[in-house]
Amino acid sequence: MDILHSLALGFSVSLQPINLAYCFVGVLLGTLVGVLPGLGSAATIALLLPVTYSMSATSAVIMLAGIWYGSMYGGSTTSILLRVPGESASVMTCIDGFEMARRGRAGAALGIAAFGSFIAGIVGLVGLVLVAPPLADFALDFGPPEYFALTLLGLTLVSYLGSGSVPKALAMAALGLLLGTVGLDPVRSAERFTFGTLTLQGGIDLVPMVMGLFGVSQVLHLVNTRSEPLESVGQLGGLLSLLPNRQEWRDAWGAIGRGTVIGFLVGLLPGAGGTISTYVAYAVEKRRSPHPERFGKGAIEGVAAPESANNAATGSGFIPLLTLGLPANVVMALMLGAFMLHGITPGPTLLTQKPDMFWGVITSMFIGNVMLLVLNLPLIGLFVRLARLKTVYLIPVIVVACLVGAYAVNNNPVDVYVMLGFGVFGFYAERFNFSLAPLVLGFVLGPLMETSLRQSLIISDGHFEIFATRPISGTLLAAAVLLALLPLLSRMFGQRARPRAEPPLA
Amino acid sequence: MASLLSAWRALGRRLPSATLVVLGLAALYKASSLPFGTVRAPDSGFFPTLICIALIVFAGASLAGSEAAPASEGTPEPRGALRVWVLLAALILYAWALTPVGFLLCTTALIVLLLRGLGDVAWLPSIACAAIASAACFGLFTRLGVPLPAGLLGF
Repeated sequence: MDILHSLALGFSVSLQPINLAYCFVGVLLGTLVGVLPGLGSAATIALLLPVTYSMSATSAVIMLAGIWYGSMYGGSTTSILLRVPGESASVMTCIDGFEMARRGRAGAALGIAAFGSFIAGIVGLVGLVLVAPPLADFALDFGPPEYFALTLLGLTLVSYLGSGSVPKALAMAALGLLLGTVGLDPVRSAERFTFGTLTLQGGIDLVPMVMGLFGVSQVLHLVNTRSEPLESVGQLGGLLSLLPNRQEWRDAWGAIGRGTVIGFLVGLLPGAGGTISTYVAYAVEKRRSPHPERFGKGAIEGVAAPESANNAATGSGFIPLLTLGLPANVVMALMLGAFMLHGITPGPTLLTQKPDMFWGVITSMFIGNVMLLVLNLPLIGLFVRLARLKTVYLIPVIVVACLVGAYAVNNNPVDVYVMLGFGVFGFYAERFNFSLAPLVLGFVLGPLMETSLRQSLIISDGHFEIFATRPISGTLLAAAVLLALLPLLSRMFGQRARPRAEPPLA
Repeated sequence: MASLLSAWRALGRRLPSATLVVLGLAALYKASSLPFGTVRAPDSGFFPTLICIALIVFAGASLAGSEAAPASEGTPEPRGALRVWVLLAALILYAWALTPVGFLLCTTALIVLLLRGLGDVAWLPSIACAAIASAACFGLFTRLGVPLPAGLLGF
């Protein structure tokens, strides 16, 4: 009953015309971002953060969330028809989706991707509705030691589960934490690493930093890379051609169900998110299939499972952010930035202090998923044409959005220089396999981590045992330490225990 | 000659991790001037010192194992590095000229460079696209309450 009452409150917010409009803009932009191979959802959210200054916090988060889950829908279209994943979470869909299209079943592949995404998206949201309130309630008992252990575990997981080597990822997380200390000390307001300049007293702004890391570095990457002509297969008929036949439905149902459960659970883990869930879902389907040889040659389960997984993961990815204030991935870190730009700190108190916002954002995602289903199926032809847009026209759009966005933070060209600096850094960091996600998460989580560490030590009179003796913080800390030591242990015992974020290709 | 080249490449691969180690050491030196406090009452230098040590340790560990070649997604554009540095120089020039010259002129010039210089689009469509896009952007953002500098056009 409580949940129904809360959902009614949420729908009363999300069904307001202004929020419906922002939800539509978000899912439309998200679909376009998913379709366009040159631009990711993280970059787009980073580019649009300054635009949200003039919006209400609820509308801003509704729009940015729409971009996030909308990109998961859009990514499947180009994966299936052009073998170009617009998003990393659509890479697995390419394998069997493109083969289905080659065999003349492009419509069925697109249809099952859309229906699977919709079903998984809705189920993921139901999970979010059921899990978030009790978890937020539980998290109200968290004190500084629990928050310190939680942030430490989050950063370790992000470094461990991301792409690239663990020491590199941990070094990037440490660099992010270090950058987060620039400015005034959060406890005593003493200046740190400001070099006597007024500009650095307020710390490094998140907006120019992420616009540089994701926007400018992406432009530099596009300028440095030759755009290849796209191969296209499969002629699409009308809407009816998008309906899978009875046998295809029968084959896909189980995969959708399993993909949804896997996506939801993996999406909860910091650092895992949509991409890893698609690898796991695909691998599980292939392993349990009586005909694994069909995978890679156009098996519909190979489309249904990863597409369901990445959409279920978007819903569950919000749970750590909304209930604990802990972003599970880089997109959620940007979402945390959007909350903070409006003076709101997400976490366990969000549900009690801002229930209209909490439930408004969640219910908008139900509406957004319906919009996406209606939007995606009839407009597939248009999206395919857009995917063929030459990158030369995309580059000025990203560049101008970055420049205006960075300048708009303080109406100061210094922020543009900061953005360019991070752009160059991001470009070269990725070239040398240094992942950017731990850096951003470290930067965002740094102040919380520092405050909770210092408060814990003051409370305990300098005894580090406070982290180990409290059951929740002790468990979280033990998990973080084990994860950090795992590469070393696996090397010592001659095993390679670390799962890699690479597709289990057939 | 080949061994010299491979040694040079190996050095290049280690350079990013080595830079992070140096950065960590420099930050640790700077953090040492901040009051550390005690474990019972940690002060402003406490957390940065711990983080600098962590950065040095992890970057050092990656330095020890950094043999992987740089990532190469997609086919590199011929003269790609030159294009990257031309674009960066243009962006720095843009940031420097934005306030005195103004948003409209700077943005038009930048888009022309991107379309014509880096994208081989013909002059006329490049200039037309750039002028229209800059004016539209200027109108949109000033309406949204972002005062973009008018500069030489001074309106």
